[in-house]
Amino acid sequence: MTHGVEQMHELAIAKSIIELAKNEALEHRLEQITEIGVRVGALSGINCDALRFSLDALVVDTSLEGMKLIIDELPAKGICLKCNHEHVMGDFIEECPVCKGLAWKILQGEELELVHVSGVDKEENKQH
Amino acid sequence: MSEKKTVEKKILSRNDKIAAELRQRFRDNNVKVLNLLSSPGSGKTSLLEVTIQRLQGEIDLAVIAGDVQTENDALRLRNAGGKAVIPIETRGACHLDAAMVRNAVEQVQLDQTELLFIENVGNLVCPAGFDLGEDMKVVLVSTTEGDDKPLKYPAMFKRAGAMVITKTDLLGLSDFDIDRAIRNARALNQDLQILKLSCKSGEGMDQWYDWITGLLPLKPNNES
Repeated sequence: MTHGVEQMHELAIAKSIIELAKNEALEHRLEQITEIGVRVGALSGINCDALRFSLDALVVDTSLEGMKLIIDELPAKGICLKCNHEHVMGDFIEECPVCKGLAWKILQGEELELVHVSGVDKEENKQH
Repeated sequence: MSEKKTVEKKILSRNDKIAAELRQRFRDNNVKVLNLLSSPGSGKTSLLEVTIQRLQGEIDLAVIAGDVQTENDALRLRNAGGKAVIPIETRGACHLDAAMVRNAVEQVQLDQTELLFIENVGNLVCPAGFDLGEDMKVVLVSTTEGDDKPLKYPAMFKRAGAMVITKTDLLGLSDFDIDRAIRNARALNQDLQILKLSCKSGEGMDQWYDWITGLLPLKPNNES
């Protein structure tokens, strides 16, 4: 069984992003991808620097070289199940600053999504 | 002219799709699948060794064993008497993905399997996001780790169905506070089932075997 060397999971995630973006470009008839936007929650387990590094490394000498990557980093947000206090957390779960509770309903922070793909439209390209 | 197209798709949608196909295959064959996750050294392989020794013959077991390099874990499990042990050497990758498991499953006789363990790569960060088609993620934490582990790896503990606290024979030798560990884990996941055991002293092992057996569909004459 052969699998590529992937020292960090951001590399695997970066590969998935590229694959997904290429499929979307094909579907939307975009000839070249100039920019992609992703949304990464603080609880998703993704290090954004490592993700950026991986994507940069993967697109060198490909048609995607020079592509812009926009990362929308979302902080973790939760509602305390004890006192209903809404709180923005760091990248791991904290005590509720109001009641010291530890049980949260997570409202935001688990996202790992491709938001948009920008590129040159095939049809338009022909006219110019 | 540059055009911006809205996508709004999960980045791991391809993995999720393969995982959904696997899940269906497991269901069609009545195979229960547990995905075992932990840091390196928490005792996944040890737990599987004693589980194989005890339940082989009683339950038709198979194991897919992920390892970064070498097939050492798979060898240990075969030496323990495991008849259906399939290694996946990830060659550096820090997690298993659904495509790797799909390849490995080709070597498992699903129609002759009741319970399939997937021993993931020792890592609490990366494997959390990768659905492998399992019925349940089971996360192991040993008493030689920090009891704040659930808080540091919320993605993993939120997605797990059960937490197994291992090496309970060492309780008291470290600062690990078992009640605090449980409270931290339940804070993230109110429905988390909790087991405590030691492969070495045997403490809690009967509950573990009962718990596993209880996940399987009832067989006639299943008195234990």
